[in-house]
Amino acid sequence: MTDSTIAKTRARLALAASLCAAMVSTAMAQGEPAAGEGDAEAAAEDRVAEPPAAAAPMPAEPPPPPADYNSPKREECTKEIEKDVDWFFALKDRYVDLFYFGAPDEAKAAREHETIPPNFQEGYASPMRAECEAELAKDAAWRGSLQSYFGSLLAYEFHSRNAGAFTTNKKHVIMAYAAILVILVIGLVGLFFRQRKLLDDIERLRQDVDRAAAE
Amino acid sequence: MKRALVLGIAILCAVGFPTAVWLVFFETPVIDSPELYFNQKIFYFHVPNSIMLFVAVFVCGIYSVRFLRGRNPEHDDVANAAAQAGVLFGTVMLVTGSIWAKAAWNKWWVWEARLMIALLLWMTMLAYVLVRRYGGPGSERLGAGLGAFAMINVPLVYMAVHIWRTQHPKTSVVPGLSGKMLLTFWLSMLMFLGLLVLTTKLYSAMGRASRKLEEAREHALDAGLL
Repeated sequence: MTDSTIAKTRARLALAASLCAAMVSTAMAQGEPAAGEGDAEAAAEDRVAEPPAAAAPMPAEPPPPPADYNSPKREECTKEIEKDVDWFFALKDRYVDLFYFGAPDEAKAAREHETIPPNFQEGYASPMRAECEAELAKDAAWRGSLQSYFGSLLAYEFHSRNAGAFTTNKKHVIMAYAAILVILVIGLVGLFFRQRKLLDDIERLRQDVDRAAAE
Repeated sequence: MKRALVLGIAILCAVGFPTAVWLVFFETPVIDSPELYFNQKIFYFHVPNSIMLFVAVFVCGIYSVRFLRGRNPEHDDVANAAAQAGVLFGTVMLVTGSIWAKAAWNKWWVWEARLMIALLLWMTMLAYVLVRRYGGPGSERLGAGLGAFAMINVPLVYMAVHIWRTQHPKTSVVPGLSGKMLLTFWLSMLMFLGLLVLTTKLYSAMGRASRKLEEAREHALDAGLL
């Protein structure tokens, strides 16, 4: 593994971690339970039997986004994703792992033919990452389209890898030419033995004739 | 003169075959097709072998008919030699075709019209050789009948891809070749033609020698020498 690959992988991991953290915080802000929060709620429910103390007024939670929420930032964010290579790969990792959950090794191997984002800019880090991630967390249709986009990208990478392997595979051609050689050698060896048998027959006849002539 | 010709062909084959293999592996381009890619290179020896099988079957058939009409044993020798060469070339055709099928279709064999008829042709030639070797007296005429029958089968093998819907590639591949691919193909054709001539000559000479030996033994017996 080259240094650049290691650096790229580290950057991706770091970004993925930061994105996960961003998503968790976004989800918490929207009222979704984070890890361990359910247990706390259960414990709170157990205590419901006790008479409530003077309850403090709860802050008003933001309403959950509607199921058909259509982010107005989608187009703008897509352009940003296409420029920011690390973010692009982090998103791809997230969705590809979901999409190809059953074949992680193949997914890794297909990375040899990884497609770079269409408007890739060297060293570009989008300032809109957090904002777009928050929008992405709300927009289910957008997440779905990203998932199928990355899925099709990986399918293409799989195809490129298989096509590459098939193109460079010389096994069958070598097998065929070796078979030709073997068959021809068998034919020649057969010919040689038949000729030897014929010479033996001629020699035997000559000896028989000589013996008869001597008698 | 004949000896010099045979020696010349042998030398040509000895030089030409390594050249053809080198051209196949290092000079001809890889075809950009999902069924072919590198495996297309099997074609350069598979097709010439198939055509040499056809030529051998025709030679066998023509000389068989001539033998049936004139009862000249020399014709029978040539027909027998061509049949043996045909079995050799047919074996190469079937084996290389099967390996190509494994690469292209992921199957060693497909029961489709072209392959079936080609197999039938090879089996007819094999039957001819077996009849001639183990048939005893009178097998010459029986073999000659088989040889004539096999000859009729050749156009059917060639046209099978057009008559029936088959998986086998069509006969339009060769006219589509150009440059080094065409050169390699024709060099292979020439080399296998040389090999066919050589093997037919060798088998024929051996058959003739064997027959003459048998005749000499019979004469010796008749003369009371043995």
